[in-house]
Amino acid sequence: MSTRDLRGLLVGFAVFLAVAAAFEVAMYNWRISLVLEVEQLRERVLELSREWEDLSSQRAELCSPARLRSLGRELGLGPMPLDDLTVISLTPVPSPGGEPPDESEECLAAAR
Amino acid sequence: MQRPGELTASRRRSRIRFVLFSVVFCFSIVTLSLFRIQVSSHEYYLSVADAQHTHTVQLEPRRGRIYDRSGYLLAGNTSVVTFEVYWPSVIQEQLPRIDSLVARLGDHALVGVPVERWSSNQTIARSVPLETASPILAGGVPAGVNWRIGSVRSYPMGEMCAAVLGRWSPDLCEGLEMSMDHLLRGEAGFTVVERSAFPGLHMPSLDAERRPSRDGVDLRLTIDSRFQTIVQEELQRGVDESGAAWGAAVVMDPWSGEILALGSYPVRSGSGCLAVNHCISGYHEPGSTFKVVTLAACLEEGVLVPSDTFDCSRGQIPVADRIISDCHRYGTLTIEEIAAHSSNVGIVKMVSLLPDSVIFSYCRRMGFGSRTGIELPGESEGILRPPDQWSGLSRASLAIGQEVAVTPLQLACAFCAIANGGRLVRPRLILASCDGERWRDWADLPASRALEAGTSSMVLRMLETAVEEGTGTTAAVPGIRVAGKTGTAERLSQGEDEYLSAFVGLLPAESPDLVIAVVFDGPDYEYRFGSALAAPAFATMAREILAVEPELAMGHGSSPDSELLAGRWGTE
Repeated sequence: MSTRDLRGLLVGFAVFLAVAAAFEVAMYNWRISLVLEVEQLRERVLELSREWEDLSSQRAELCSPARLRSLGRELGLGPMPLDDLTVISLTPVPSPGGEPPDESEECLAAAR
Repeated sequence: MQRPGELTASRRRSRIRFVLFSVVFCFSIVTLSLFRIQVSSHEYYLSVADAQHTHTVQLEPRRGRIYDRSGYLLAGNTSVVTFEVYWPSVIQEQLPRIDSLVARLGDHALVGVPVERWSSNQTIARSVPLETASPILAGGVPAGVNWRIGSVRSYPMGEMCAAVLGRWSPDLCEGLEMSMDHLLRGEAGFTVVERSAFPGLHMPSLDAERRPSRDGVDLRLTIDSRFQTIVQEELQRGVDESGAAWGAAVVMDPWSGEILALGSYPVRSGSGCLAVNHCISGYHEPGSTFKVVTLAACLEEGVLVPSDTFDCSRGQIPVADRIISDCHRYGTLTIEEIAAHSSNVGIVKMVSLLPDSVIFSYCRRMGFGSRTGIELPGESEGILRPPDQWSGLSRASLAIGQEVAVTPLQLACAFCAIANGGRLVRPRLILASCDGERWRDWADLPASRALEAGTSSMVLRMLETAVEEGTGTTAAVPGIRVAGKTGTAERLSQGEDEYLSAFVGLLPAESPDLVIAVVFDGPDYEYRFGSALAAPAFATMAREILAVEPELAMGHGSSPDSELLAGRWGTE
């Protein structure tokens, strides 16, 4: 192998090393940028979860049964009188005389 | 021929050898040092280097949330910010900016204006809500001021559910927060970042190990926040009105053992810690509410039938060396009337038909003398002495609810057995849990057979009579059939008589869907009877609970075709 060939081989090898190094640097930077992006997204997720938690607590405070009851009282909305409540059954019930129920009539079963 | 000053060949060789030896020696030292650094002490130097350019950051887990049975948030987390000043980094010109920051932090600031300089690190504000801190942070903070975001526990219902939940902070853990801490706390993680010359700008280390935090488990309770509010408000009203020392109430589903509300008032002791939860702790004589055990035992053992009558001896009966008496002078009463009027004499005569061991075994079968196993800390098992420790008076005393100590929760469980056909259900507070992926229902706890279904239905009928025409008329709820039993226990406290007013009710009586036990301790004299304080409180709770959940009025196992109609009937 002549000196010229040897020099060419060395130059080629040097060029290969330079390209490989540049590729490695590019890959490293790309990886870093990806990691930073992931970290930023993770931070964002954390931030949004915190916000969600805070809003959930605020919502629960606003919907607190004690608060709603108190507001209801202020507005004069008391509990419904149970005298005004009855249970009806849509299942036909036999009449006291044992006759079959009249299908056309509204069937009933009073709870009171 | 050798010139003057010229080295001889042998001297030149020795110099060359010396230089060669020196070079080899130096390289050997360098090689050995490299070997030591790179091979033998590799780990040590690596860790030193890592410590210099990396930093481990702790990843805090989110504490598990607690919801009620319908998904309402009972305990959550709120973000807060802590501000600190590292004084060595603060130059004199920055002091006005720090004063301005402290002024903006308002009540959250731990120091006053003007801020006095410290020698090292100083916390200037803690637990600043994120919404207050955000505009401050957005405007930038002075050099030397550091801040970090953390979280504190929030309880949107305030103290309404504190008797169940307790409270959690880094220094304090109470109630369910304590008993379920192993699930709620989660597990901390860590990540490694590379240090940067710019504060706050850290780059994640690419090759370092990273372990994400594992958030705490979310819990869904059996508690209904609406019922809990009703119960807690009524307890507070009852205690304030009657001058009682405390009040406690339990609302249970008798079929599943699910606790729908569990209230105890006062919630906090004078020191601010959680007060004793009287639903599950302490020792209380149940009074006449315990008579259901005697009734059930006699009916189940077949020593009497509902039509039997007893002569109540004009309200007095001698037992051992004492006289047990009634409030009224009753003559001959049926069993149903004895239960309705809560005749001590009648009950004592009934219990005389049973041996001690049988009475004791029924007390045990109905859950007295042992813990229910509820998921709360500090539960008492009550006091139930075995028959070999009884005196001549004990059987009669036990039959009328004396010489025995129970908790309101035990009472509620015993009445659940009356309501559900004789099964002693185990109370539960936790319905389901979520580990971040999906909700998993917690398995039902096994129930034991306390009574036959026929016995429980006979006792239920008698309890209904007690509310219709007996001692419990003040517990009646318009429009709904109610069954229940009053109880008044008397004890001597510091030379004065003190009373415990109790009522345990079931509704609707035809097929109970709710069991409510209400107990007040130490009320004023005029409120001493169960019918004067606990029964009306029960009626108010029942009325308001049914108003917010009218389906409960339909009873257990109602037809799926059944519907509720609300409106004014026949008013036109």
